[in-house]
Amino acid sequence: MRLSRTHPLIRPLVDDNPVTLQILGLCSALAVSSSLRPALIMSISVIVVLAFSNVSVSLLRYVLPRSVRLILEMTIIASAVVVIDEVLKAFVPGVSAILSVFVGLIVTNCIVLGRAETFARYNTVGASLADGIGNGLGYSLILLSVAALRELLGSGALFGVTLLPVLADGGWYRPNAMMQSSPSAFFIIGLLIWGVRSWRTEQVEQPAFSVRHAEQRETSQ
Amino acid sequence: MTHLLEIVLRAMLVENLALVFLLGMCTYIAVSKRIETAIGLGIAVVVVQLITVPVNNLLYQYLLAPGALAWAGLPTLDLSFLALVTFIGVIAALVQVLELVLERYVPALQVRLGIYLPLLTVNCAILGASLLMVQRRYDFTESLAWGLGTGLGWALAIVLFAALRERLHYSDIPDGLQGLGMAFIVTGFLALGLSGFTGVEF
Amino acid sequence: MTKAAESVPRTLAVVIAVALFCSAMVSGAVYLLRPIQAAYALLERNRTIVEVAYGAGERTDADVVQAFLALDARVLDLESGEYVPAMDSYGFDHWSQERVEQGATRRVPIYFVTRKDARAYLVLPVEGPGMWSTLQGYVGLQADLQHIATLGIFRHGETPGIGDRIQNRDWLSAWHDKQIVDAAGAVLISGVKSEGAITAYQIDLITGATITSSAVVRLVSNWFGEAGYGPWLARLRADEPARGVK
Repeated sequence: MRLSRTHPLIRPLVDDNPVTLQILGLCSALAVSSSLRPALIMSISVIVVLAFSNVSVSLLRYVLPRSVRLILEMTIIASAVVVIDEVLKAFVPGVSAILSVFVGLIVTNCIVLGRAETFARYNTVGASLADGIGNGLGYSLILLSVAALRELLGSGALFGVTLLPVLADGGWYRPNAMMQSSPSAFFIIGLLIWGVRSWRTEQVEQPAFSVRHAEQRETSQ
Repeated sequence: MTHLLEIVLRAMLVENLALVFLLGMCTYIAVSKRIETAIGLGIAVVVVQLITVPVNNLLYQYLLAPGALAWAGLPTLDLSFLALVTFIGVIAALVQVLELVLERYVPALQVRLGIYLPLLTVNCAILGASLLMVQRRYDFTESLAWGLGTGLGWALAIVLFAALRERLHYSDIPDGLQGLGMAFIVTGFLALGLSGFTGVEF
Repeated sequence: MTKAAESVPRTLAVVIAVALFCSAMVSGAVYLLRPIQAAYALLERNRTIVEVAYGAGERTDADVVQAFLALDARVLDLESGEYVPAMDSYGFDHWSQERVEQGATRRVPIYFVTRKDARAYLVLPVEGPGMWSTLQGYVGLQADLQHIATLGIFRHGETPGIGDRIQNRDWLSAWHDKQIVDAAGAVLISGVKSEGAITAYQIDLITGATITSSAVVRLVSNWFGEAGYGPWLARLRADEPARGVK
């Protein structure tokens, strides 16, 4: 089955990426990106919550009362997040401690509420499920790319497996201290956006002001 | 007293929610295009933090923490897993009230903030401050200081960023970096600058 | 959305349905997952219990949690000799700071081992004063409830290199098959500084750590006497046919 670029599962990967285009879900994309293992657990958690929330909202889309719509959506999302949080605390307590408050913050992850409001409310369950998973994957793509770079350059390892032996262990690689701290996440995403928009030029934003050159001023006289 | 002042200053500079914890980024990037809007949103965030963090602290201490319900004769009950849902409810209610108050008394600000005022409900920084307060087991006065400090810190970050972004309008930026890309890189530099406060003792 | 859908009763119905479903989902998850989370919280303690029950070995954290939750844990009230079913026997930490401060230590968690290939039949917590600190450990009893299968030391604050030799594998395995009480319940176990053969109810004390090792023997014998598990174990032994012991 060849999925087209506009299929809800594929579109959010690059063309409509929640992080690099929709400007959603930034908080955790930046904060949890210092190493791959927590980033992976976080990605899976977000995908699960997105899928559950989109399917639930889509199932209820004909009966959701307008007056309490937002509160009901938040309740569904918050319940899903609490369940995920408890599951993580039970089965991977070490990673859960590293992720600390960020699993709880999936509740406020703009992607989840954003997709529920703009897609799941108006589409079938199947499409909503695909959209939820697609956006989750788009988010994960960015998060895991940043995490891979930060872990590799910041500590010479990926998933804890040493690839670049560090000086402290008798190797040759001097770990990049900036990669270990939060500003690096901003730089990496900024450069990633540059790369994506050079490839898919239709995503380029128009500048707010453009400098009027001398010739233009004369012709407009 | 100095302990409380220390919490405020640490929250503003060393543990800035926007630039160190990286919370509230969506709104941060989206609302920082004009300085006046950024200042308005910053003030709104300070007000919301100053009220929600202490209120959530009371709710947690007397209702949700393990053993909190001892006064009601249920000392073994542990409702801490309900913290997330409760805090969101409190924040949503407060933001709704704030919107009504602004609409009545400062309508210009309410119009300028537009959709971003109700979006404070899902602002990671607001919920994050309450969750961190629980994690650090602050008492009531400490949570007041923490709420004030985190609000001021986030407001400081967004105002600084808006000032920089207005300057960026006149820069010649490569097409791919225009707008969002450059915003990230500038924020990175801001965060780098603020990281100079790490390890400072107040 | 038609006008009919906006009516108050319908709104209320949807709200209540969603609330009930979400509550059930959250409560169900928390109820099912709490024991596993608690088992991780008390991981080091549970590792000692699992080693006493099944023997020492290489175990990951997940293995320990699984093995611990497979035990049949009960909370025993020493005053009445009855179990307390209302308490969470798996998460019950009777050596936690708060409980010690409250002075409430007459309720102890005990663990029946259900697997047939295990080392011990019943695991009981014991504690008592050592030379410098309180010693806390677990006794693994064999099915006849008289002979010891394994002993494990969980916590102590004795002198490193001297008192801490009570955790020495060789000394602990010397407790295997020693008889703590006789069939009538009289406590037999005692410590001796060996000069030659020792009986089946004597423990050879550690040379150079006599005080600490004899403290261990003393606390075990105290806990199997009248003030500890003695009366309750006597009742259990009387139920031998019910327990299917040969």
